[in-house]
Amino acid sequence: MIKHSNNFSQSGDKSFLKNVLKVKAFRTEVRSVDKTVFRALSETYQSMVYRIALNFFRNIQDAEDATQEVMLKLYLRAEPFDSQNHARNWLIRVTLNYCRSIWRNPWRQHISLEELTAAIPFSKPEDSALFQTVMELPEKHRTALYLFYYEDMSVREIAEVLKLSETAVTSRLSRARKALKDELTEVPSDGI
Amino acid sequence: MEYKERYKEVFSQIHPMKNFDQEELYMKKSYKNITKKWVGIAVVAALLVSFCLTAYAANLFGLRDLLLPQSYEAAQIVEPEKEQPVTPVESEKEQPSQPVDMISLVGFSNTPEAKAAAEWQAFLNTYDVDAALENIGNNVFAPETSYIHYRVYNQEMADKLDQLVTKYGLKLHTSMLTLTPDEQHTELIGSENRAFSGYMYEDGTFKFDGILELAGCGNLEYQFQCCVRGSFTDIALNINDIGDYAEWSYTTKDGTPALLALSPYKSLIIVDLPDSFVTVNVLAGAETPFEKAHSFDADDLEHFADSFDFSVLTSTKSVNH
Repeated sequence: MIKHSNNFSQSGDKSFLKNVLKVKAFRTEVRSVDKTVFRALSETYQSMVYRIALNFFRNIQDAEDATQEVMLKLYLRAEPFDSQNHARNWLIRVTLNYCRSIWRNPWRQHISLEELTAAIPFSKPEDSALFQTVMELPEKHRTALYLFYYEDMSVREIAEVLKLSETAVTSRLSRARKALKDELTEVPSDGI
Repeated sequence: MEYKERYKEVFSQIHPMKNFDQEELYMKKSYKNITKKWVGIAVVAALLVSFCLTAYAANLFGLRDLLLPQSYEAAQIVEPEKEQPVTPVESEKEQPSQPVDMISLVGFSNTPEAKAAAEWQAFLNTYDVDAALENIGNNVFAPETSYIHYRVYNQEMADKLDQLVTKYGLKLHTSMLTLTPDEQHTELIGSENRAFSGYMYEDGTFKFDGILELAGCGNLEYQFQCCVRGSFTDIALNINDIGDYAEWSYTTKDGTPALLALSPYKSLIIVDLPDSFVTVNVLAGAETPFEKAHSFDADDLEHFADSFDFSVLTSTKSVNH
């Protein structure tokens, strides 16, 4: 039987650890993005982050948590963005990373798709139906579809942000569209 | 209307319930905006106020004695500016997985509960490697049986589970109660400590989410899991990398020996009681920013642990229903 030590197993010394933590806290304090920039980016992309997370989790609470976490990461980010596009892509990557990191968390609550759809106040019943159909797709298809349709990203941009080949992205989009053909009956002109 | 326009029309109606402003984000980790309903903690309270037990953990183990076989998370997308290698994914195949450390929440490694949990985790790791089960949708396997409380999706998995519980002399859970809001019981865990959503199994195994107001840190979220011995509980916790944790033993204010562990992002309080195993997953770590001069530290975690009276915790087996 292993008897546990009264000391820290990592540092071996409690005061040492405290000092390390203080340094980390200080670094956290000084590393925060310009607040005006934060406000502008937050207003522009908060809904995008939320929609990506909702597409991923199919759960409003998890999507809210993800949005808050990602906004916090943005708030604490030290380095400036090169462009608005850079900021958007960074936020997409951070959001997906966060979603993946807690996807298999056993504490996560699961709700039915019907409950999720009912919780969103769509203006028309057919909108609810389309949303539900989209949400029935596999996660990887939903995310690619959202970036392509809603964020107007090209296949190349999506491939870059998802670290996939362009072929893989095209394949996901095609499969998603095929699955949605009953809900979206018009002829597409978007090239997939 | 084109596909794209129709899609946009629908998804443009989706927005977060609220905006996260700067002040709130600064206070983040001290209070996340929880929209979960208040849950009454009548049943939990029954546990907390029932029979006193002498705290027992004379030979406390370490965090590594809780490790389960590594699980696998989907590979994360690496930010380019971090200049870390990106795992190449060239086809439609799932991204390669990265191992994460999972700990048992049912007991240390020498217990039947933990052995069964480890064996079950190992089985799950190798059973569905191509994620075929993800395509089963909302279909529930054998909804009227105990299997509904576990990650069992077909008869083969059910047989494996039966084999495990027989081997280790455990029982499967038979029913689960979702704890419902009832504010009048909140006083039982103090005004600084609030319980939210939770559930309880028939043997007294329970879990609830809570928020504790801790001096200097504000409101801290936590998850409280108590697993009663003798049952098989299919639950584990992803702690990412066990190497990130500093751990030490500590005796709480009520005299209960506990194992405390602090990482940059979360903290753990682990209490090994005679008839149950308790894990408190504190959603704050050494790199959590607070308004106070320093981040969440070892003293804070000890104060957090002191806020619970583990000595009165026992299972519902001792309570007359």
